Amino acid sequence: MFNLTNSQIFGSPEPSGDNPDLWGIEIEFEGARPPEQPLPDDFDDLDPDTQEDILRDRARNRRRYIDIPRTKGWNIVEDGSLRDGLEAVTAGPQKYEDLPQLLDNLNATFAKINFTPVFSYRTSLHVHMNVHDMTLRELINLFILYSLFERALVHFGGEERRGNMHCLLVTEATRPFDLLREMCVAKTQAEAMRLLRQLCHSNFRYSAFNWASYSRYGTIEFRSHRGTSDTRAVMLWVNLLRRLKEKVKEFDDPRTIMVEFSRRGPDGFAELIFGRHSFAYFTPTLCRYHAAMWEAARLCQDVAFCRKDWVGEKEEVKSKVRPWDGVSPIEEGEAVETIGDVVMVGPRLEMQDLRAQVRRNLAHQWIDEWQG
Amino acid sequence: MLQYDSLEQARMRLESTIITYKGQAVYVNSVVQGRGKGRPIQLRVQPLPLSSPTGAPLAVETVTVSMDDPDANFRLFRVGYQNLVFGDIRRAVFLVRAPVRQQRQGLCERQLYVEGEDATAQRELDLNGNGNYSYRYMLLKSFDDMLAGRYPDLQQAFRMLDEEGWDRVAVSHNFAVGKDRDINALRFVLYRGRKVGVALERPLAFLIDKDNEYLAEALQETGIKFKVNDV
Repeated sequence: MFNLTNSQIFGSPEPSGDNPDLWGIEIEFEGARPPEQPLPDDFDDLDPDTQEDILRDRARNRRRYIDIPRTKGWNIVEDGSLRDGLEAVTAGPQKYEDLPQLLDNLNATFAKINFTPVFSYRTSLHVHMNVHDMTLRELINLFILYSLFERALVHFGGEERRGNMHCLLVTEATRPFDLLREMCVAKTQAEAMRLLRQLCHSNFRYSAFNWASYSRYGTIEFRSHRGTSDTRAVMLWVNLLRRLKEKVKEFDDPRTIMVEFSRRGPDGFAELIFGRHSFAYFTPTLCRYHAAMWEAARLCQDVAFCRKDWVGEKEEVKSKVRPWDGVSPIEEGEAVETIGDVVMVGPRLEMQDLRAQVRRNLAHQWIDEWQG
Repeated sequence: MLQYDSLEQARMRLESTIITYKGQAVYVNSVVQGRGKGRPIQLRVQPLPLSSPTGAPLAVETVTVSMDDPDANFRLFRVGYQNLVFGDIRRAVFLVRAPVRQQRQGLCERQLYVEGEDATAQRELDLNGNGNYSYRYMLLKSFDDMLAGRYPDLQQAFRMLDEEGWDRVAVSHNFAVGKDRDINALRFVLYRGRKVGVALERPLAFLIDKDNEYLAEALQETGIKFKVNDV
């Protein structure tokens, strides 16, 4: 089951064409109704029928949305969860390379009618990533990669989104982890399918990493970015998510991700995934979220290590990532760390192993002491 | 902080939910429009517990809190094990928050699920069959203890197992210790609702399966003694 794609699992039709690099974008915005007309100065002196007509006209006017001209590649739909809000939704899956032009078109349409969308705390940007080309195992890899970086990603996309009931973080509303783990250790395929369906149920769609669109559209919806139509901001977000998808293929299974993460630590791992220069907007904030990443790693380990055999062919955990990939000059330097009375000096890359070794030894000492 | 700009919205999102105020869990009784400049939105809240372990309601004073008060938190809640005392139940239950499609921003029963309980335990807890939690248990002191991260230490936990009739006792958000109902000397350590180690002898050092070795650091941090079963 873990080597099957969405179409093989759910029988959903794959998007046409050979290019799987397809995206869907939903941009929520407010202020899309004309402002309330003031009442005439002599309103109180008017006869009741005229007053009623004026009030009815005002109400009708307030119910009407502004007329946004048709824009190629976009549909504009109503969104009841917003205040005078609409949602611009890409017309079906769009090629990655077409996205900047589409976003420019939308902004040009807004400019043409002199409309400035309001992006209040209620609005958000939802990005659908096509995952028809990924196996379920790769999708779990993606979930784990995303979870490790979630707090930093949410900070990047808009810290005000954190804790919002419409996009609860997977590391804070953790039920998806538990369902995923149960699915991975299910005794039968039927049971695994039942749990996968539960994970993808539309009832759980208010997750920052939304599985509900997986069974329906073959996409994963990322919901944690604040509302914006700015081409540069949207593309930065899409690029970060796209990078995660690209990197997923480099790991055999979730265990190899966790092994690499433990070996490199948050900074080294971030550099491996996002590169040294390309994501300068993202990585500087990462140091604030080291603790959150380690905490997320615990949740991820629960899923990653629940199976011995993810691939179905071999037992051995092997990473395709070469040990020297993404090594920064800082990591190549010397580092000093202490755990209890033990002082460790060595190359930073070896520090993880050393730390683990010292902890293991201490644990053994303690066990010996306990056993008298 | 989420700022609701209309009374209706604040009511829909917060009324009859649990939030925290100055780190203490409080039940939002009602949301009202205050008097004075700008007519601020105010929350009428009651600090937990609102009911005793027998289920009897407690008389708790209502406090008025401005919705914009930075000490009022209705976004971030750390849930995990709750040491539940209710009627005859003395048991740690593991709760997770789910990204459920609903309209409440504060904590409510629809968002909370009980993990790792078999059908018998579900019946004992009188849950509604789909693992959803019950409001009855959310109004207890132990719910506030869970949100605040207050747990007994290991010594206390073992004493509660041995002497006070507990089945399972949580020692942190993610870990609990428990005893077998049939073999009295058998002790378990549970992680997020599932058994990950067993112990028979005293002093207790739990035997952790090799598959769960990745929990070593977390176990150490919690102060739970263990050794890994290499067999």
